[in-house]
Amino acid sequence: MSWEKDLQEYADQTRMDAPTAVESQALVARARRRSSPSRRATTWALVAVAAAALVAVLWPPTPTSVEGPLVQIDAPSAVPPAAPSDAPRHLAPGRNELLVDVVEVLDGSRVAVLTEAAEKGPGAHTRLRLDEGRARFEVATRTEGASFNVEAGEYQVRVVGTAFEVIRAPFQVKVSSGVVEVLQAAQSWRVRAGERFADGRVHLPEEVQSAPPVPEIDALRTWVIGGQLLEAQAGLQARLDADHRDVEARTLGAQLATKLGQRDVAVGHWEKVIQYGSETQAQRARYEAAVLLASAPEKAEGHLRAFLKTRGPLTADARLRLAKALLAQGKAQAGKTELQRVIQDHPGATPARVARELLQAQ
Amino acid sequence: MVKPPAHHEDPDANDVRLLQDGDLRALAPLYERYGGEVRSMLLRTSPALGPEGADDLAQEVFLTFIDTLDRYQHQGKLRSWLYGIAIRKARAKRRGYWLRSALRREHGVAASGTATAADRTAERVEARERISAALDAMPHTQREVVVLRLIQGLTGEETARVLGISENAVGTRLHRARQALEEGA
Repeated sequence: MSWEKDLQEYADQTRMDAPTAVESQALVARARRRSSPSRRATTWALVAVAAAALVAVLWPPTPTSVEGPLVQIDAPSAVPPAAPSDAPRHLAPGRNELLVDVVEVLDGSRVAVLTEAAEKGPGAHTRLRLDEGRARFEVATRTEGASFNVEAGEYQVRVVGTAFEVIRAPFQVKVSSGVVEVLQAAQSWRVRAGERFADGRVHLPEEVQSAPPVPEIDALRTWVIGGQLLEAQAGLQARLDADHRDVEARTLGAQLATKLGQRDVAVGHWEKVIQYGSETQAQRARYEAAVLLASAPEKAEGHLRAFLKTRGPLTADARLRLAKALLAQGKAQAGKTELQRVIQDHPGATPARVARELLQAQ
Repeated sequence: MVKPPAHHEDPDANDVRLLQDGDLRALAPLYERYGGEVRSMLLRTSPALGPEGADDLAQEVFLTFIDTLDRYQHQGKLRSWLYGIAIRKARAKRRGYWLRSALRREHGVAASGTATAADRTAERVEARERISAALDAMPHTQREVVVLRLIQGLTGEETARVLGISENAVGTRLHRARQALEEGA
């Protein structure tokens, strides 16, 4: 039968490769980390680094308040010759986990893995190369003899344990936790959390724009899709700080807050969309807010009445929700009237069947 | 019927015993042996994962397998045990995918289908897309049965065990799924 042939074709084309020996060794290393007594400490250290990064981005600390491990950024003269490597693999955009480290690759950026440590410990070296764009690194503290290196053109970033961002061109390093040392010939600069190195000098926090860079909405969507919810939330806040009428950010913020179980936050975003969005956007927001406010019938009623002023998709469902909201407030007659309207205006729709059942139950 | 992947008689017992003794190195051969199958199965049952997501989740499956070693009795059923973990993980993941799906729809990104090799003929791509469309249109419970039974090559008994349902239920779902596939062909 032809579908069986199609099925074989589908099977052939969706078959994924078996893991390579390198991948299986990496999984073994991961399993070891999970089972080691220090796993919890390592995990929390990473969480702490990530949290520190977030806090540092939102509220850059003063130089005197920060102490941490050193990152060295070497000028070309200090860069050791790179070992020849086989064809490097490139990390996918989004969040990538390497051993206990996290690399976030922004869309349009390219990060190549030159060598990857099989496990943490002395001699465990990880070398990455930022070919294009921007990437953020959260690096767990290395033991003596282990290293984490990022090459970006003529610069090299050597990491002991910190969170920072590297921009390929023009070369910049933004440190969100820890301390960085930039070396060039006989000169050196110390760059602390909240500061950045660019144009051959350190920019202190007061010179750094107080607002974090505003991420593109598509990048935020990618973060949400990739499960980087806290980062997306911080990015959305940055967008809203820059423009509190940003309807796209409000919409994504509402979706994200719903996903995080923050109903009131989500409703707040939808209400801003109603206030600042186009009529189409506002209509959707009214409906979404009403759905979220099912347990707050008075508020839901207001949104649903506004929604129902315009006839369009979801009218039957919205009218049924309005009826339920009215009944929940003890407005029995008004609720019944709305139920009858659902049955009369939308006889074939599912809401009409539900309305009939509700009427019979009254 | 898609030809099931070939398997040795029982190459797993020794590796499982080593793992149960705490030798995590034994995870490597198991992963190399079953990782591709588990990845493929995850991608076929949950195409929204994408190849990388399927890969990530497959790793989680094997790490979870280690956590379940004390309950696992090796009787040559490692494959279906791993599939069972994978199905549960994929279901849990799918529940969190509503937003991803919405965003994919919003941006016009196809929810399934991964083959992009340039050398594929249009006919082959069409065949895959016909099946993708038919699978996408099915309830997930049917899709899982099709993938496990017809593509991954599990027996009815194994499929029932993986999904935690009766063999009769597997038969019923398979019958309906076959009808849907025939209609889509």
